[in-house]
Amino acid sequence: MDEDLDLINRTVAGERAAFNELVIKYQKPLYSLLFRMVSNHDDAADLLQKALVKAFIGLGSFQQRASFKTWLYQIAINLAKNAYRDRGKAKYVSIDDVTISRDPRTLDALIQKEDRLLLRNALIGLPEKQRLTVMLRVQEGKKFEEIAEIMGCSLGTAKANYHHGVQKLKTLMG
Amino acid sequence: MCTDITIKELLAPYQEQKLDKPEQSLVKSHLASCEDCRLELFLIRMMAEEPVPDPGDAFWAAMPGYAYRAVQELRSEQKLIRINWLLDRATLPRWALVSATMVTVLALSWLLARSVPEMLPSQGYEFAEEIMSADPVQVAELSRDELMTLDSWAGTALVSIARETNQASGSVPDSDIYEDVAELNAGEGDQLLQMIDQHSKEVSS
Repeated sequence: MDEDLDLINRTVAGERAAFNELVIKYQKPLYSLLFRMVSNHDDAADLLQKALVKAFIGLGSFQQRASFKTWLYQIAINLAKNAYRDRGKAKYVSIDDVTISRDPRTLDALIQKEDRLLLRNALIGLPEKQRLTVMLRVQEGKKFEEIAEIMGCSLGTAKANYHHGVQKLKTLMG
Repeated sequence: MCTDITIKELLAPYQEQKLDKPEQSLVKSHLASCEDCRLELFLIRMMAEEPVPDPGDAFWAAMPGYAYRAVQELRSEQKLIRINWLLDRATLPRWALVSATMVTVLALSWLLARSVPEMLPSQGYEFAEEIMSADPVQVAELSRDELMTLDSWAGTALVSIARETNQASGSVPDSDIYEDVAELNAGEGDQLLQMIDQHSKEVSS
């Protein structure tokens, strides 16, 4: 965090090397998150550049309430959400309205199938907040406190979104 | 379906091997008897292992440069937008310019219309009309003061009139005669006029 602050101050002062160092430090985790959100390289690369530019343009007003990494994640997630909405890609299954009447399928059947495509489709089928929360928790290894900060919600809401999301995934994978 | 939230919240860090020993043992013993949590752990593992393709070293190496250039371009655009914004604020709206022009034209017109009558010599016209309508004056009837006034007027006006007449006719003015005429008093003036009349009659007869 202190290292980030030093790099941020030097970047704001116009030091190109500090700018490069910050980009190199965060470009891979950001790309990974964005790729998982949009499922293709071109969009993920475009959103990565946009997120970096947006972050560095607003770097002078970065208020350090959250860590720089959390702030970057917030920017990237918001850009990806907007891109999804603009392109009409948010084809969510209205799973909230579906009554889950049967038990999730058995572990053995799931292990036998191990269908990654099905998993991706199931993730896309989750409501946005649940999908993002599950991705941040499982795929990005974020703690619930960090997720709450990134998503701008309470700790309880972050945990609830996670549990509901995982339950629905199990149902959709069935 | 398992409802043990504590265990479920520990499944992701268990998969990441981030739990301490007691928590690890707790999750392990729970998984041995709970198929729902085993299923959930399997899903978590699948998602965590979901591969993200590496775009390659060239992509990573180029990104700082791309981002830096994009930031510089955006900053330039923002400066331009700020300048345009200031210009927009500094320039009056079109309706204000039109109104100001109309007010200026009206004010100038009003000033010109007011100043024209003042420039006309109205008093001069009245004076001229008064002269034209007056009865002819007999020199003999004039009082001494009036004759003195006439004398002083003749001393200047007659000389200048005679000069202008001579200039117009091309003759050379005789300055001595005019100076003498100018020095005559009223009586001498009358005498001179009678002499001129008599001379004219003699010439005509």
